[in-house]
Amino acid sequence: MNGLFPGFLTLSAAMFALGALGVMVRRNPLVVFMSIELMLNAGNLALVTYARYTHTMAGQVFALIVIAVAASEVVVGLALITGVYRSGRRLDIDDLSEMRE
Amino acid sequence: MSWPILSVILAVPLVGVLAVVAIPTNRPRLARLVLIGTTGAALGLACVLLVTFLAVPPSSDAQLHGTAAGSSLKAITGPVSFQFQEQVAWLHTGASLSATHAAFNEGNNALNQAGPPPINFSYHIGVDGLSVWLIALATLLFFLAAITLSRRQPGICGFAVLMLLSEIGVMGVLMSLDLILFYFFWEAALIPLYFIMIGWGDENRGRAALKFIIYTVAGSLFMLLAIIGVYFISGASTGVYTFDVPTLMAAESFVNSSSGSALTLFGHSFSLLNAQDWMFLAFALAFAIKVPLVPFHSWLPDAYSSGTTSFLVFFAGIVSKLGAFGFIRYDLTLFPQASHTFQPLMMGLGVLSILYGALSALAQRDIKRIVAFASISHLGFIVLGIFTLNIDGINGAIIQMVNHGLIIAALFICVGAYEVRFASRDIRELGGLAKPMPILAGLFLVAALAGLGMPLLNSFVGEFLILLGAFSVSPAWAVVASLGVILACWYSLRLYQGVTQGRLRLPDGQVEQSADRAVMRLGRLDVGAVELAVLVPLVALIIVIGVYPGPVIRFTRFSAGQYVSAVDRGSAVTAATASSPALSSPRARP
Amino acid sequence: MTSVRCASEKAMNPTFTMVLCAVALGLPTAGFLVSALSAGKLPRRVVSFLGPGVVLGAFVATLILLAELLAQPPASRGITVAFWHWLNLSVGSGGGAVARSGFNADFSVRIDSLSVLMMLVITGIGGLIHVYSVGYMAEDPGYNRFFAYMNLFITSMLLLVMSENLIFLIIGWSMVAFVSYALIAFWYQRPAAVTAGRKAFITQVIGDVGLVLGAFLIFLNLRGSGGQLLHSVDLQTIFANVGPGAHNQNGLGSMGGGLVTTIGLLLFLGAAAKSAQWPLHTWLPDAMEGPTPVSALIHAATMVTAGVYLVARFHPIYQQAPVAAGVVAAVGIGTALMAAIIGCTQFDIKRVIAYSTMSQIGLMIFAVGAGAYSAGMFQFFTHACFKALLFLAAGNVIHALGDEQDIRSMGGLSTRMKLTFGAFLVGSLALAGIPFFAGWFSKEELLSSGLALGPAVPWLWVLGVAVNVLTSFYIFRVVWMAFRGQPATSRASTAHEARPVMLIPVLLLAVLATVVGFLNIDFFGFHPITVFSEFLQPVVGTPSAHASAGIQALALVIGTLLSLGGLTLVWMVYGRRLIAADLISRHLPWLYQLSLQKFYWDEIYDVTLVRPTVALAATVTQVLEADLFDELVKGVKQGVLTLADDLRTMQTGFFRDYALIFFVCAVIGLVVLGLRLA
Repeated sequence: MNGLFPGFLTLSAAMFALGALGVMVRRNPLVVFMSIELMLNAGNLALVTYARYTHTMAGQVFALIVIAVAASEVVVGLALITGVYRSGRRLDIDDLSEMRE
Repeated sequence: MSWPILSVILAVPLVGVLAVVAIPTNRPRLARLVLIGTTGAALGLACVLLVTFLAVPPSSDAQLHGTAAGSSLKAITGPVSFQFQEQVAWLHTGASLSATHAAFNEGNNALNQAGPPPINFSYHIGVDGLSVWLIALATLLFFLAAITLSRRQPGICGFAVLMLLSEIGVMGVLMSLDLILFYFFWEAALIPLYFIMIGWGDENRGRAALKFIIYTVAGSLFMLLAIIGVYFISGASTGVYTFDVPTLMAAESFVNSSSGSALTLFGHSFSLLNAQDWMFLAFALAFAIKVPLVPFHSWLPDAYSSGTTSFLVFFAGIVSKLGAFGFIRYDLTLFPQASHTFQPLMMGLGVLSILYGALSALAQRDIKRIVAFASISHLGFIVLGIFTLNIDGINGAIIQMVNHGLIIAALFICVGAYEVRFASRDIRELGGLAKPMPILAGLFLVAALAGLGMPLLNSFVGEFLILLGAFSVSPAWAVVASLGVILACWYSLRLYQGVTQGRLRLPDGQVEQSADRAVMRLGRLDVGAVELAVLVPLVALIIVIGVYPGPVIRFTRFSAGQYVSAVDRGSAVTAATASSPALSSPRARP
Repeated sequence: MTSVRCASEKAMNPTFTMVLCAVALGLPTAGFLVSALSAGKLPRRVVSFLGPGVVLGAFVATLILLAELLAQPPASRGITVAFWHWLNLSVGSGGGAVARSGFNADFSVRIDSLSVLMMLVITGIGGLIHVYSVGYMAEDPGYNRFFAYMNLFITSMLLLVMSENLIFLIIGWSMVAFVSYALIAFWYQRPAAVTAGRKAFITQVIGDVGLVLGAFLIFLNLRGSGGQLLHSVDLQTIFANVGPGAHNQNGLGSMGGGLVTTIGLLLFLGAAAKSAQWPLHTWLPDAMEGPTPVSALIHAATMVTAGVYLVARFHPIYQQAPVAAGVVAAVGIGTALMAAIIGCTQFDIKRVIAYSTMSQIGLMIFAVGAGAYSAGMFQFFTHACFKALLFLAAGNVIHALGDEQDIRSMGGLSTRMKLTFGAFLVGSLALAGIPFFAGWFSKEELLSSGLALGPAVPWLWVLGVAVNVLTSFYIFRVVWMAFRGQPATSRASTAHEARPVMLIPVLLLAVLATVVGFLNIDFFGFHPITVFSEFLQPVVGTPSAHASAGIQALALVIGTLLSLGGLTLVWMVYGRRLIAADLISRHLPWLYQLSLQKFYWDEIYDVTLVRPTVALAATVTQVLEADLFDELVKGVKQGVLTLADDLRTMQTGFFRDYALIFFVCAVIGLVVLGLRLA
């Protein structure tokens, strides 16, 4: 089991990098959301790995919290996206720049 | 007391907030009634607290700690003791993790190497003979401010919510016994105050509010750094990482702090000031801005001159006392040695404020600004008293904090009454108003006289004790400070006489054909029931405390003694190191 | 020492004394409270009885106290009555580092011959003036307010003289200052009255500060016989321990040392402000803006003499501080001379009398400074009678002429107001020191005992007798110009005598001014009548030296001749016109201008103190506040705004830009962290 730790961590890093790339290059907000979920889950994986490694529960507890946060974030985010969609606009994040000063 | 009275006092305004939020905005009178009821309930509870607190005679405590010299003399040395304490652990990361840390670092010292120290803070509140008076004063002033709130003022619901929130913040600052909790309330009080300032007031209010918030937040930031510094340095020297104020006071971790302990933390070499000095200064900056001391005062005249009366009653009355309270509660007890180091500086700033405020008050034409600068001058006296570091000065300062709250509230109500009636704050446009409005002038006279330290009115005893304390430390400072008393007489009379005496003068366009008709018309404008209901209790308290200050002084003196003995731990160390150079620098001599 | 005090306290009945003191203090207080709290709603008829009634009641109580005091042998005439533990701060003393005892200020009163004398004058003369005011203020709309303040004044003044400790002495001291302000500015719609009130109050506060600082020095430094710090504010304790003792360790340091001299000078600062002595004298003439009864009561008979009382009461300290006492005496005689010179050229009848008050109090201050305490207090006693008389008689004139105060607009009043004229004449004779009127006895005793005390004092005596000639000159000048000659205005030719309620107090005072002098005839070595000085002897002792009978007789003759000389001069100038009235103004114009312009003190203070302070205040506001602090805040604000403007360009509005910046920064942070860890 112990020998698998580097593997898990590498997987986590790869997932995180993929997610980050997705956030940066995609223009569809839904895909951006999926990328964010990917990054969060990469973090979860790392947390659980370290929890296992140190024989403590803290990492697992944090992972649970992250899942909860992710869920609530999706709720808010999807609501926003739905709102944008219902206002009759194209789902392209480059078009959503009203917050620019 | 079997029930948590302090938490209840904190919770009452919160209930009021919820109630006001539930009220529809088209029912402002109901909101005002709820506001009055809530603040009144808080006042009632604070009175219960005060009476219960005073019912425990200080002597019983003193006999526990003290070294009574004679049967009649009660010793009042001993640590600062808190009553009505409530403690609920809030965020403790240390307890569960430390076992695993120990398991991981077997053989090593867990405290030094096992990662970050545990975070340990709790909802810990309590009162002592200093804060219990200020809590009573604060609830009284919030209650009176609620009564003063005009029924016709726009946006009463919002004002009520913000006012109750700031009451919670102020109470929390006075009650909290945990540094993080203290900081939380300290900042939390600012936010509603800021929104009141930008929402209600004259045309300069936006600028005034911005100035206020920037000044105070900048000050608090350094205090936050110092709080973290206290946590680390105290933890490193005692082994107990905590934000708990009584624990920190008892630990005496800064009594012996040398310049060495600071070096590792900041990564720089401070050859002149040690860590304790820096943290003292950081706390002192926050408090000096809040008080305010010259040269950190420039937010105050704008804030005071643009605010509405009911806001000023509690803002000028109690918020500025929080700074002075902080000096006594935190600077003196946590950093006794630095308090002695910076005593000349702080006394000098106090005297500077006295004279600067008094001189500025002399030159102002805006009646509210006169009162604002007078307030700076009075607060200079309080700080001077605190940093005499002897029992007379600190005792005088504590009494004067209560006194000044009453006086400044009464003065602002009077000045505000003239402003509302004549839509002018220019002293050149007003005059002779005692003739048509004698009752208001009479109450104003008592408040103005109290401001200049008239005997048998409340501030005489306070200023007398402060000057006595200052005189025994440094006669020169006391003599210079007493020039402030003379100037106080001057500007107070200029204000009072300018508005009420001399020929009848009114702003342009408000003068009647004949003076008699003007008197007839203005006569109907003399104090109304609401103003009377607010001013009479204030003036009565001013007179009662002045004629018989015994009870207030007796109980505050006990507390002042505790703070003096807390700060004297620092002087003992200074004296010891000074008297035995061999102890401090053995290596310097081969 | 303690046993003696105990014995003396047993001799007088404490409970009875306490009741009397409570009556004396309580009645005027009650009068004040009733008048003040009724806020003008009380009918005038009630106030007319209440106001004077309470003061006369207090006078009766004082008379009983006097009888009780006189019933005791001289050695046991003195009792301290503690009413109330007002403020006890000595609970603060304990072991350890806080070992500093606070003061213990009981509200307690001291009844001895000095305080009873003061009380007699305050309530007796004060009562007469209250009665007079019923007539004088009859038409004033602020009638109730007037009596409220007057009663409060009586209370405060009694508190001042009766107090047994420094704290209450200071409290009374400041309270009379306030009441004095309130009564000077009584007609608050007159700008001159408002300014005069403010000036008086501020000057008094300067004196208060001196007194308070002196009290601090005593409190912090007084040591008992064992060398321990006493921390007492109790007057009897202070006086009992003030001597330097064997090793200069106890008391207030060595005889004539810096400490006790500083204390003496600081206390005198308070006394000078209250008694209108140079350099704090300029408020008194302006104080004449108040109603005339106020001038009579506060600014002639009682409050302004509080400085004399203070020095007499603190004579144990001045006996330890010869330098301070010398300063007191010199300032007193200097003020007396200066005020007398100014009085010769003024035209406002009340201002002439005000300068005369200043001058006479200067003489008293000289006496108590020189050590002739009983002579100084005797002058205070007779002066209270004849100066109140002069003011009230002048008040009758002013009232009859419809608030006219300029003596050039009077004239010929002696035929129309015979009784007032007679009373004014008696007062003038007494003031001028014409033989067998009260002032003659007291002034000559004062000057001759002053002559005997101290090395520099003979020179001061020369100045003192010079005051004599000036005094009789300026007061008889008023008599001639106001009462003799032809009426200058139509109003003066139709003036009527005053109402009985205003006349009777004046006549009573005239009788007093004639007879009180006979209480003490102490000029020659043989067969003196010393009722007064014997009465005061238990408190102030006897003067340390007496001039020989021959010198006393010589001094008496010279002094009397000079007084008569002043009278003759007036007669020659204004009566017979043998000497032109403008002789001085033509030949010595600078002297005339100096006198007419009051030695330019108002202008000097304006230039050296008032204007610099106002200019400093303006500088603080316009330069420091506006240009420094406000600009500082504005600068910070500008800096932040500029920075914000620059940073604004980063806000592209493209989400992916933000994400990129975020990740780049995160990577940089991680790399740095990694490098640090490695």
